[in-house]
Amino acid sequence: MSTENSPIKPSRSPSVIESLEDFESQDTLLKHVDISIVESEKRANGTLHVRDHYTVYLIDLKVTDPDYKLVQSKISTIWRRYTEFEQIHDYLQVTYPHVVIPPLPEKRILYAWRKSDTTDPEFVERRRAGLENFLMRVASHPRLCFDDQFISFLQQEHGWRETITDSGYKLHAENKLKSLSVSIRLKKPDPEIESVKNYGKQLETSLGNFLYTRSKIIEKSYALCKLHASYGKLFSEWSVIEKDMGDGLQKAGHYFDSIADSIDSLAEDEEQLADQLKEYLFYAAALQQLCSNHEALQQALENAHDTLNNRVAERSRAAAGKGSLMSRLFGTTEPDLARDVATRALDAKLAADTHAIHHARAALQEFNKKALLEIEHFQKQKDKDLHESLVGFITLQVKAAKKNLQAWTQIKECLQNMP
Amino acid sequence: MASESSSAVLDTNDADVTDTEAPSVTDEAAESIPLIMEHGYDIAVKVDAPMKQLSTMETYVTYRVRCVCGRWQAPPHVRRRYNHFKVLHKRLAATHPFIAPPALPPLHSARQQLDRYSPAFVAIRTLALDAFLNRIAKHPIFTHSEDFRIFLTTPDEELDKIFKSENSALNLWGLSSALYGSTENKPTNGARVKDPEFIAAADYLLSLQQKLTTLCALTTKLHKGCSGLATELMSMKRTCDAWATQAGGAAGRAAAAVGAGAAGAAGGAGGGAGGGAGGAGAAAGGRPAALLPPLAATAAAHVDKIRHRDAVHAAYVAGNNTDELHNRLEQASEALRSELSDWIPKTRSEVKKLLLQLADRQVQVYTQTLQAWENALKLSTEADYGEIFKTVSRNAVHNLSPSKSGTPIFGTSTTEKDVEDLASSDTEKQDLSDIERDRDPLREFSDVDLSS
Repeated sequence: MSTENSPIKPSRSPSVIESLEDFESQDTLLKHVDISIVESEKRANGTLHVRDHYTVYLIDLKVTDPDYKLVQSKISTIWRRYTEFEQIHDYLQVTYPHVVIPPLPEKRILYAWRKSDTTDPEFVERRRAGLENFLMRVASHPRLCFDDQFISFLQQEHGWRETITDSGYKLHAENKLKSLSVSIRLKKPDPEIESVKNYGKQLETSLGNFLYTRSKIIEKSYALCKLHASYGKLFSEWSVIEKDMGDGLQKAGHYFDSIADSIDSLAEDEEQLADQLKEYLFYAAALQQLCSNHEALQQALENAHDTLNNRVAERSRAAAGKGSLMSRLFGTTEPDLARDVATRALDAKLAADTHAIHHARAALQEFNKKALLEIEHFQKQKDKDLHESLVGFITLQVKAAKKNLQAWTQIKECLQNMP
Repeated sequence: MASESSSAVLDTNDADVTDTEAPSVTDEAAESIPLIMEHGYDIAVKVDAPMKQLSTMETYVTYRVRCVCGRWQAPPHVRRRYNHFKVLHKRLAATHPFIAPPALPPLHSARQQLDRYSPAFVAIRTLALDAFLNRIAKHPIFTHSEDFRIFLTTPDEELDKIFKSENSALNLWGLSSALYGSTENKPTNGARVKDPEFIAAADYLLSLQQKLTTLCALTTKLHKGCSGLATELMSMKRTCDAWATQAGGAAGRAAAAVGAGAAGAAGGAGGGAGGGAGGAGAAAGGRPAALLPPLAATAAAHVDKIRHRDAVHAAYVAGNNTDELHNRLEQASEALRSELSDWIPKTRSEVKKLLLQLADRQVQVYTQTLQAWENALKLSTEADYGEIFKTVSRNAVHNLSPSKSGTPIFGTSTTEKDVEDLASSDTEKQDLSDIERDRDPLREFSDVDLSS
């Protein structure tokens, strides 16, 4: 891969995107390549300790466009583990601060309603789907998908870890983390960015609450349905001792068992929907991250302004002949000469400061332009996705209610036909 | 039951039947169920309208007992308390040593003393006492019992004298019968009686008792679970409404729809469960809890009688084949046979009735839940039309089958709020029909046609 890969300048950036339509008509990797994660496997580090076991996922690339040159081979597969996904994700976060970076599926299980951990086969399956979704999201973003590191993540078998660490993204990430931990107080916060940030916070809260109540509901529903298994057992035992009622009781017992079993598939399907909502929970965090990046740039600009103002004040003081503290303490041999020297030095610095301001402002404007477009695209996508997820949720409930209604109607019928 | 909270009659001696006519007229009016004799029976009884009564010594609950009978003249209603029922039960047990009278609802445990007057508990007890009395009334033997007649017909102020004074005598009688019984129950050496008919019956009754108890426990858990679920659904509704106000667009609409669905489902589940918790008269949920334990207890009592009979048989076999023992044995066997042949079918049909009630209620619950969620689906997927047509019935929308690319005619600014209003009402149906009355559906149709 190219060696002049620096974390700041993404290579192969497409033409300028001015509007949302441009954005959406851009070329993306996904238009030429099919990406999927086909399976997962357990590996061990050599020891037999449970902690040293980890899961790897098989990424499968199929080039659908026969003329596509970017991807090396027609079909390629590669094994990656979750931490490597984390690496590429963090890299993208650092490299593209103006983009809402697609989030990874959860590292630890959130909103759990039954005991499980990350080694559960069910969880592994859900994570596989989540990672696949992550790759597809990145591959469908016109800016992110052509990033060299990302391409090599998909293909480079050996040495990818070295490549990505060489890019030095980690250092940037740590710096960023440090700077972000200090809360940013802006003198003149951008209202649009502020509103986006607040929106992100609210979305996070709403989704969090929803996921919490959903987990409570499925927990209770699950317990309730499993109770019906006891009914089934009771009825089938009872049918043994009864002569006339026996038939009806047994049939009813079977329906009770079916109710108890039906909850399992509902729980599974709902879990998938919950994963979709969790994705947007993390997306909301990514959105806030974007806003923080903007604020950082804005703060840089404000700092530059402050520096300039201070410098101006310093220079005027120097020009007026009031020397620095040191010169006043120790005196100067030739006040006029010293004054001129000082003034000229400060002039140079002033120029540098003004230049810095221009630089910062330009960066901010550039960021602004790109970010707002990204945000617009994100909002549209989010609206569609959330609507779909929620409709899916409702559909599941309809299905479950129908099943239960059917079962109980049958039970009623069985009971009625008893002598 | 409305009278329970309203009145606490200070005077226990409802001396004059006509005196109590005044407050109880409201009772009668409230309990609009007329007392009708069932086909084949010449008697009908009902226990209802519990009321707290204060006397000089203590406070207790009395129940109104009504009776209509062809055999004797009965006052329109009398008031009895639990102790009176207890006495009746004891007397019936004493008079008919070979058959078990129906079981009473249980006494208070120490913990329940605190809850003595809670509406739910009193309602359950009322149901159980009603079942108890009905069983006796429809029982071929007990219904003719003198004690039963006394219980039903004595005016309230005289009852205490008869029953109370008899209490002490009864105690002696009880003691003596216990003594008498114990001599018989002493297992004589050797003869283990194998009477397949009664052994089978005993086994069946024991299993039945166990099944009924389990059924009762399961049903209670079911109702608790349902009401817990209803609470969680309500909190989901709150979450979704908050979300819908904050978010806009399609996602917000979907969130509001989920809230609506959750609210409807909560209503369904709550309705299914809420019967037991103190609903006036709507003790549908409590019925199994009230009625199953006494049935189980009666089954156990029958088993006791069977054991008793077996003891007699053993004595007969081991003893000297005396005529007296032989007679007793025959008596016992006959009594048991006829009793069981009467009790078991009745119990079966009662259990069937209870199960059907349970099934009915669950069907209702899920019908309501299904309706709520289907409605939510419509709300969320019919996009802009959801706002327009929320004032029109769903059938009308089906008939129209709108294209998906319509523009909203009415302003979208208040849509979220409107959808929330829908969601906050109690039932989906009620809401739609309410709004239907206000707007003319046809007007909406014509508007949309023009625009599309």
